Parts: sequence; C-alpha cells; structure tokens
Amino acid sequence: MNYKATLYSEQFTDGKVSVELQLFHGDLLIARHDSGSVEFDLKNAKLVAGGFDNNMLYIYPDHNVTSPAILVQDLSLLKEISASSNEIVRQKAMQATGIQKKKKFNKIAGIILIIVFFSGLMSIAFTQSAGIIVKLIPVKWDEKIGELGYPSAIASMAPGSTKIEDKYVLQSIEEIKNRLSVSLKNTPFKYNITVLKSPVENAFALPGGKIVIFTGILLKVDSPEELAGILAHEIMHVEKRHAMKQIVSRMGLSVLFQVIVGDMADAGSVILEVGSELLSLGYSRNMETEADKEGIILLSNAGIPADGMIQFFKKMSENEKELKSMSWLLTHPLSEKRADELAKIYKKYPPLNVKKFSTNWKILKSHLK
Amino acid sequence: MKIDIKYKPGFAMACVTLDADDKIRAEAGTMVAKSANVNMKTEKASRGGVLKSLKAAFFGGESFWMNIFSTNGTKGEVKLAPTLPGDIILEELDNSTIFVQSTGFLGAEDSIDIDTKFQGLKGFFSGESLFFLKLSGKGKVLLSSYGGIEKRNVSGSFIVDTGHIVAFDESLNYKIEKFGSWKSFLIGGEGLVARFSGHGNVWIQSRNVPQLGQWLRATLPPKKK
Repeated sequence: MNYKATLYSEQFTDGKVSVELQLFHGDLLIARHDSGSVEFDLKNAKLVAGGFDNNMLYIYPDHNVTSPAILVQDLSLLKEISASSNEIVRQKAMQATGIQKKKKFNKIAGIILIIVFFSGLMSIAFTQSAGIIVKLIPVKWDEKIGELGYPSAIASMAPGSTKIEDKYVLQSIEEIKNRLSVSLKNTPFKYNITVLKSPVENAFALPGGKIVIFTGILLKVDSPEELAGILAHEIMHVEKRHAMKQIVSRMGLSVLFQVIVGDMADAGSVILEVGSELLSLGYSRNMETEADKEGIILLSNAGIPADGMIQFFKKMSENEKELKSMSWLLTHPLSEKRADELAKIYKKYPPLNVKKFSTNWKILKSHLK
Repeated sequence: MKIDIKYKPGFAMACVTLDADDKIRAEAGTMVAKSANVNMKTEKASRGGVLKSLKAAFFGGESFWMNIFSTNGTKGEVKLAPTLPGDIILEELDNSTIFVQSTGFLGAEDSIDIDTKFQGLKGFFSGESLFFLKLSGKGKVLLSSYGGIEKRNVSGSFIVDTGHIVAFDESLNYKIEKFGSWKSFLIGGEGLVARFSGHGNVWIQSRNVPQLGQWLRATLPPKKK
C-alpha cells in the first residue's frame, strides 16, 4: 500500500517535500519524491507519535530526532508495521501506538479535571447569584412547589396524621399569625397554618406560605411568645424565598439559561419537577442565620418579645435526651454561638409597643390532649 | 485576490484587492476602510452550525460574528487592521492545518474552514486561552501579532513563551513547561513556556499581550473613591 507523507530534510528548499511511502518486507520503508527516493531501515529507526493531537506518526532513521524525518498522517501504516515479521520492528510500532494511547488518556483526564474545576466555580457563583435569579421567578411558583411538596413532606414526617379542628387552638394560633403577618409590609405571600396531630416535635413552612405545626411541638411550647418566635423564623424562610434560592443554586445553569432565554414556562416545569425533592435537603447555614435575624426584626415590629424564641431554643438544647427526638432542632441546630447571636440581635431590635396575647397557653395545651 | 501589507512592522494594515468572485472573512471590528462597491455581510464566524460559531466565540476568544467582504462582479478594495500595534503576515495554506492563538487571527479567504480546538489541560495551566482557532483548507490566511512576527522552522524541539505564540503547524506537538527552577518561575518573571516537538513552523510575536495587561494595570492610577 502507498501512503502520502511529508519528508523533512534540509536538502529541500522549503525544508520539506511531499512523498509516497511504501513498506517492503515489513522493515524497509521507501519514500519517493519527484527528484529521488530515501530508504529508512525500520530496524534502526525511531517511531514517535506526534502532531497537535498525537494522531500522526514521525519516523526518524535513528535516535536523532531532528532531520531527516518522515511525517505520516495515515496511521494504517502503523498497523502495517505492527504486522511485520521482525520482532524489533513490531515492538517499535507497539510502543508508538502505546504513546499515542497514553496521550489520548491524558487529554481525557484533563478534560474531566477542567469540568470538575469549573462546576466547582459555577456552584459557588450560583449560590451567590441565586438571589438575583430568584427575583425573576414569579411568586406563584413558590406556591406551586409548596403545594406539590406538602403531601410528601407530611408523608415522610408524620404519615397518617389528622388535622386539629379545635376552635380554641386554631383561633389562638391564628391570632399569633395575624400579628406577625400584619407587620410584614407588602408581602406577596398568604400564610395559612395547618395543625396536625402527631408526636413529631416540629413545625415547618413550605414555599408560598403554607405552614405546618405538629401538636408535638405545641406541647413543648410554654407561651404564645415562644410559638411566635418559631413562626417568625419559618415565615422569614418563606419571605426570603430560601427554598427557591436553594433550588436555583442547585439546579444551576439550566435554570439560568432558560431565565435568560426567556422561556419561563420550560424552566418552570423543571423547577416544579425537581423542587419538591430538593425541599427535603433543608436550608444552608446562612439562610438559617438570615431567618433568625429577620425573624427577630419581625417579632420586634409585631410587638412580641423575642426572648420567647431564645428561651425555647435554650430549653430545647439543654435537654440533651430530648434533642434526639426534636426534629425541629435537628434541622435548626443550636449552638452556643447561635444563641448568643440571637441575643445580640434581640438587643438591637427590642420589641416596639409590647402587646400580650389573649391565649391562655395552659388551656390550649389541655385542648390538645 | 491580492493582498498588500503596508506600514510593517509596527502598525501594519492589510490592503486586500478583491476580484470578481473573491471573498474574505475578517474578524469583526477589523475593517479600516473599503471601496464603496465592496459589500459587507455579517455571518456566523464558522461555516456549519450555530454551535460551531458559539464555540469559537466563547472559547476561541473570537467574535461570534465575522464580516465577509465581497464585490458584486467588479474589483474592490478592503483594508483590515488588528487592534494592537504590530505586524501582519500573509500565509498560504495548501490543504494544510494551522492552529492560531485567539488574538493572532485577522482574516482568511472564504475557502478556509475555521473551527476551535480544545487545548486540554495544557491551555488551562498555560494561562492562555483554552482553545485555539483551527484554520484548515486551501487559501490565504492573515495572521496578526502584537509587535513583530517571526516564522520559525522547528526541527526537533523548540521553546516559546506561551504569551508569544501566534500560530503553529498541525505537525507540531507542544507541552507546557515551567521555565527554569521554581525560584525563577516564581520571581524571575519567566512564566510558562511551550516546548514544541516535531517538524513544522511556529509563528512567534515579539511582544506579549498578557504582559501588556500587567504593565497597564500597574501603571494606571488607583480608582478614586
């Protein structure tokens, strides 16, 4: 078979000339050009993979890798040489193939490394920019995700729990909620609270404003102010759209791209699909801190002393045995530092025009039993 | 097509004379002047899909759009020049392929295919663009440099500072290396170098764009607060 190749040698004016290669007896390579021919004895030759992608073959007459040299792009020559009857020549061909494969592998490894690096950068960038993107997403989506997430959240935390219909309990909680929501200026969300009968000591808010309180946590609470603290914290998760930020920062590029391109309907379906699953991941530390701080400011505006909230935290963390059963504290880990910070913020934002709640908490508790 | 390069080597400008069916593709923003009968059409940088052009724009550091100059059956003239002061060199590709560092491309005959080529880890660490422009086919190519341009024939191996590479032949492979010891690398001001091996041509420029950037940054007065 004939192969097209380039012969590099100082004897040519351009430093190179086009040649046709032919292999004889598996070890003799003859390169013919317009004005003559050159013979390469492959037994002494050096074969090296080369070129930008290492997908070309350089053949040198000996170990000196300058000139003359033959460069061939058609690698079927290498295959033909590998079939040589001469053992030394065969090994040289195998080596050249090996180098080529190894370099290819290096390249793939490089690509993977770069992808890992950039996705790392991206995720950092996205956590930072999530807030900006979230502003472009309509509030309706929060509600939709909340709706979709509700059944699975209940099913995982308190399957089969029933709604509390007791008027005294519901009215008391409604009073606290109303005091808080009146102090929220221009909120796009409507808050509604569901109380479920379950020993689970937890309360949570779904994006869009749906708040769930289990009777387990109500029994641990000793005053309306304590419950107001918990609610204020949860409401701020909703107001600050933490769930949506979480979703956007985790889903990253695809959402950003679709927001930019403007096809919100498409991005919407993706968010809704993944959203309810992502809800179970919980919030980041920064989000918890933000909800703490904003929660206390909200309490201050509503004229509710926030020491109820701090007290509730302390009460729960002091009892280590209970800590394990307290799922609310598991998702809202309390450290000494956090309590200190809460106290600091509280000092800065003391309640304005303190007003007492009308509920007698002892009566409320008796209604739960 | 006739190309005459004037004002070499400091402030070179390519004066292209277009015949009836000639077309030249130039990097957006490089046109200096043209005769009235020369039409300019703005097209995607690469022939082929939009993705190919996007790739060239994002990764190759080129514009997504390139301008194609042609005449309607008559003779015409178009003058092209790069942004930075420097030289322009005219190369003829004869069914061959060269790789061009993103700032080194000024224009090419329409018959030349433009694509981008991922450099892999090498580009990532060299601090240069991650991608090269890959020019292949048969036709004229205009390369531009910051400073003077030198075409160097490599036989065996040759070392070039990464900031000074303009272009090189497909037949050359290169490795990124640190130059000298770690000490000279960190404080000697010599950065990373490319070791070319094989046979073929390397085009190098006598000035270095990243270093221009560094110099400017150090020279600019601090921002007023």
